[in-house]
Amino acid sequence: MITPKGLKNQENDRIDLLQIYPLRMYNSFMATGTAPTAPLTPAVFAILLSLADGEKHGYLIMKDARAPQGGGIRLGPGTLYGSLERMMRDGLVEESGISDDERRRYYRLTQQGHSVLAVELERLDAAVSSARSHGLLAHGGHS
Amino acid sequence: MMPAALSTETLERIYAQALRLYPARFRAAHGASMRQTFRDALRDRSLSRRALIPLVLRDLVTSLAKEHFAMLRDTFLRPALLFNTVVLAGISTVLAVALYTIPQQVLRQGANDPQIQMATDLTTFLDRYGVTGGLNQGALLQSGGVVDIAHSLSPFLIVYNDQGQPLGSNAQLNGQTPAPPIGVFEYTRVHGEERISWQPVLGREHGVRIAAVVQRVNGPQPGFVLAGRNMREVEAREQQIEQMAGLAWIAMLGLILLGTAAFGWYSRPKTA
Repeated sequence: MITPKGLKNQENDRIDLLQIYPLRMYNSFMATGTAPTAPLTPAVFAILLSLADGEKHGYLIMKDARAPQGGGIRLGPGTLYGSLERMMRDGLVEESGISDDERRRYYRLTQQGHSVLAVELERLDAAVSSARSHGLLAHGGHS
Repeated sequence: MMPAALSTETLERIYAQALRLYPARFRAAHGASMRQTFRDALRDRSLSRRALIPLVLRDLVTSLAKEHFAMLRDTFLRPALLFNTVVLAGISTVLAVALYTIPQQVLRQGANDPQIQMATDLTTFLDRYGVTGGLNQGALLQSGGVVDIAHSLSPFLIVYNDQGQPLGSNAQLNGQTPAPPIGVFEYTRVHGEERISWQPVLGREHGVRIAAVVQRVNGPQPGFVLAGRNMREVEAREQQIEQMAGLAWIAMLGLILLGTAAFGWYSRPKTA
């Protein structure tokens, strides 16, 4: 996985406990767990898209993802929270800290999450433009 | 009764039980939220239970596998842990190689000791009288009877002329006096002495390996003296050392594996 320039990897901070080798090889070997880059998995893309217009709790994200304009992804709670955990670890989303119920947590995009979503949307937009130019998709139609 | 016909409370209770199948850390971090999300889905009239229940069942199966795999990866396959394991495995491999190589070399070099003394004594004698003259004076008579190279562990002597042809010997293999490859004589001619592990071939392979010391005879009738000894016992000891070093290596790798697994489990991430 490749991290966009300037984005820090939080995972590296946790492994300093075992960093006893002052080697460049060790440091490069440790450079894992960075934020995903395009193309994103359908679940990650749907979650990012859902949170793009504001913070939401789990079921609202599931509902957005299920809608055709949200990706048409049928997310279950396990996949949703597994993805959210990894996205939080990668610095794409964070808990907002605001909750109307102790069990209902709200999530929002981080700056990095916005960047990754923008890159993915540009990639998809380019693909759709290419499909249109090849006559595979009607001009002005739904993409 | 079909799951879709069960009451909301019953379905929630079943789902709460199913959540116990997730890894403890994941369950502690997200269990309550997942249960709330499931409750929200059950109460959403825009989503039929006939659609929801299969979706949740499929999700349970796939996400359970994924989260357990992620738990194993986060516990045992962390880069820092793997790096240390690879380093320790490398150190243990070097140690095991040293455990084999050092005693093997000591044994192999020690196997030359009587031959060095015998070859030096005979070479000194033949330097004075020449290879033919020395043999005529009974240079090999004091070394006892004929040694069967294939079976005896006794050291033996062979004298060759300057072209590498055997002139005299107190040893035989398949009724003949063996000679090492001509390259051995060429090396000895230049450097004065050569120490080799030699597997004579006379007609057929017989697996006899010889610890041989070849020395150059100078003087009026130059030639070569070869003192040798069957390496059977030395090679048996080398094989024992190889087995012990191999067992030590496997034991060290096993300990490293156990230690890595224990440390991985002890230091696993406890919170999401």
